[in-house]
Amino acid sequence: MLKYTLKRLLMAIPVVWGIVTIVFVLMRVFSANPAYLMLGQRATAERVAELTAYLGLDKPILTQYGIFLKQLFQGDWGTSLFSGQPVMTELLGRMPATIELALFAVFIASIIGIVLGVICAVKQNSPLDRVCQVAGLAGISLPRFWLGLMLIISFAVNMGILPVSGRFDFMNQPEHVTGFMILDSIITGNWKALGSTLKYLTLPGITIAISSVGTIMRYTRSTMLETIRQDYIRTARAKGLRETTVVVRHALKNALIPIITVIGMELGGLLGGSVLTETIFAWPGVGKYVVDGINNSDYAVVQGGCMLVAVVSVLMNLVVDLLYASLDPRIRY
Amino acid sequence: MKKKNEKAVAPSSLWRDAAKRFCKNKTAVVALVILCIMIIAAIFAGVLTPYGPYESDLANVKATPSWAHPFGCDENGRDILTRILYGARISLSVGVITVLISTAAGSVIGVISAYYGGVVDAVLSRLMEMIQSFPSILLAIIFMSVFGRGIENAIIAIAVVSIPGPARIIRSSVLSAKENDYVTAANAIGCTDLRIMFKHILPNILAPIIVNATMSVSGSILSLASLGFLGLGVQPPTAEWGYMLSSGRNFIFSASHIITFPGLAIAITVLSFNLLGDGLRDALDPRLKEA
Repeated sequence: MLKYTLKRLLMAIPVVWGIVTIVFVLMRVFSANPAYLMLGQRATAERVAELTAYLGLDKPILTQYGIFLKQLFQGDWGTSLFSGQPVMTELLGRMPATIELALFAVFIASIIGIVLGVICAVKQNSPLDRVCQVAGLAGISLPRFWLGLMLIISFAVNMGILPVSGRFDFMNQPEHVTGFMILDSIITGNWKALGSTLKYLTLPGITIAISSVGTIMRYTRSTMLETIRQDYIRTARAKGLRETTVVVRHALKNALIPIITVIGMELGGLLGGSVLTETIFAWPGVGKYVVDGINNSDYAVVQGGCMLVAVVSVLMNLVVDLLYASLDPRIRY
Repeated sequence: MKKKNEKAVAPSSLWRDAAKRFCKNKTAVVALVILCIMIIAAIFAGVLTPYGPYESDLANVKATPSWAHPFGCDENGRDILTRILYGARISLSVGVITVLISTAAGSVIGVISAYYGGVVDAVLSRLMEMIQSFPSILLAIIFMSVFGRGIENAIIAIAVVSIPGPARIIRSSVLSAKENDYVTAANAIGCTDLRIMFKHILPNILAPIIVNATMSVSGSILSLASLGFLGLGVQPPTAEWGYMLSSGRNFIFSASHIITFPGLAIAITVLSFNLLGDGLRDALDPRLKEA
C-alpha cells in the first residue's frame, strides 16, 4: 500500500509540472503585455518599458520560466495587479467558501442520489425507475448558470424567502475562526448566524446538487443492479432475510465502494471552484476569483487560480484511488 | 415449423440489430425526433419567422409573450423565438464540429498510445491527464481570454479541452481489442501497423466511439453557452443562447422571460443529445450498460 501510494505520488509530479507549464505558456507567451493594460492607452513607451522591466517581463522567456518555477517552489505565487495582495494569501482566504459550498452540495446530492439510485435498482424498469432515469439525465443537462438564475427568480425575487446572492449578511455574521461559516457559527454558539449561513448556502448548493444528483443516482443504480445479481445476494435471500436487510446490508454495502469513488470525483471537480455557479451567486470562492481575474486581465490571479484548481483535482483523484484501494479488501497493490 | 427455424437463424447485421433495439427505446426515439425538428427549424429559420435576428422593434422592448411574439421580446425589442432559432444554428453546428475534431484527434491519440504502449503511451496518457485535471470550462475560459473571443477560437478551445474523453475510451477499447486473434492473424500475414490499427481494430471499437461522441455534443453545447454567458464566446450581437442569457441576466427582476426561453432551448437540446446517446449505447452495445 505504501509503495503504491508513493508510486502514485511520483506519477502526479509530472502532471502537476505539465499543468504549471501549460498555464505559463498560455499566460506569458500568448497573452498581451499586462503593462499596457495596467497603464492604459495613453501611457508613454518609457513608462511601459519601465513597468515591463519591473514585472520581469523583458527577460528571455526561458529565464522567466526559471524564475517562475523557483518562485512557485518558494510559495510566491505572484501579486494580484488589481488588489496588490499576494495571490497565495487571497487564494487561501477564498478556499473555505468554495470547500463549504462543495461539501454542502455533495452532501445533499449523495443522500438523494444514493436513495433514489437504490430504489430504481430494486424496482428496475418500473415507471418510477424510468421517470428517475430521465429526470436524472435532465438534471445533468440543465445549464447550471441558467438553473441558478431560475432559482433566484423563483425563490429570491418572486417568493423572497431566500437571499439573491452572496455568502452572509453583515448583521448575522459569525466571528472568524476557521473561515468555514457553519463551523464558525457552531463554535461561537451563534445560532442566528448559523441559520443565516444556511439560507445563503441553500440556492447555490441546490444548483450544484441538482446536476450531481443525476450522476450519483445513475451510477448507484447501475452498480446496485450488478451487485443484486451476485450469488451472495441469492444466499441472503435464501436464508430468509428481510428484503430491506438484503438490499441495504448485503447489496448496498458492497456497491458503496465504487459509488464513493464517483462522489469523490464530483467533489474533486467542485473543490476547484464551480466557476459559473460562484459567478451567478457572487459566492466569494476560488472560481469567482479566477473569473474576476480574467475580467481584470490580472494574469497572476488567473495563473495562480488555475494551478490551484488543477493541483487540487489531481490530488483529489489520487485520494479517491487510494481510498478505493483501502476500502476494498479484494484490491491489493 | 421449419420456416420458423430458418427465420431465427437468418443473418442480420450488427447495424440492423442495433436499429431494431434503438426503435424499441421510446425516450431515445423521442429525443431523435426533437433533434430532427430542431435541425430543420434551424436550417429554415429565415423562412419560419417573419422577423430578423437583429431586427429591433422599440415598441416591443421587453414585451412579454404574445401571439405575435410567442416567446416575447428582449431588451432591444428583438423577437426571442427568432433569436433562439438562429442561435440553434450556431449551437448545433459548433457542437457537432467540436466533437468531430476532438473525436478524430482523440481516436488517433488513443489508438497510437494503446497500440505502441511503453513510453509513447506513458507520455500521451500523462498529457491527457494534464488536460483533464483542469475543469474543462476553466481551460476553455483561459484559452478564450488569451486568444480573444470569436467562433473559431471557441471551437478550438472546446475541441482541445474535450480530446481526453475519447482518447481514454479508445485507448482502453483498443487495449482489449488488440488481444483478439484477428489482430494476431493480420500481423502474421504481414499487415502494416497502420492497416491493422485503422482497418482491423478501429471498426471493431466504433460503438463506444459513437456513443461518446453523441454524449460529447451535449457537453460542447453547454460549454459554448457557458463561454457565451461569461462574455467570452461569439462576438455580440450574434444570436447565441449563452450570450442571450448573459445580456438578459440584468433584467431578472423586471422581465424574466428573456432568460427563461434561451435556457430552456439549451436544456432541451442537451437533454435530447444525452438521451440519444443513452439509447445508442443500449442499442449498439448492450454490454456497455453503465452510468
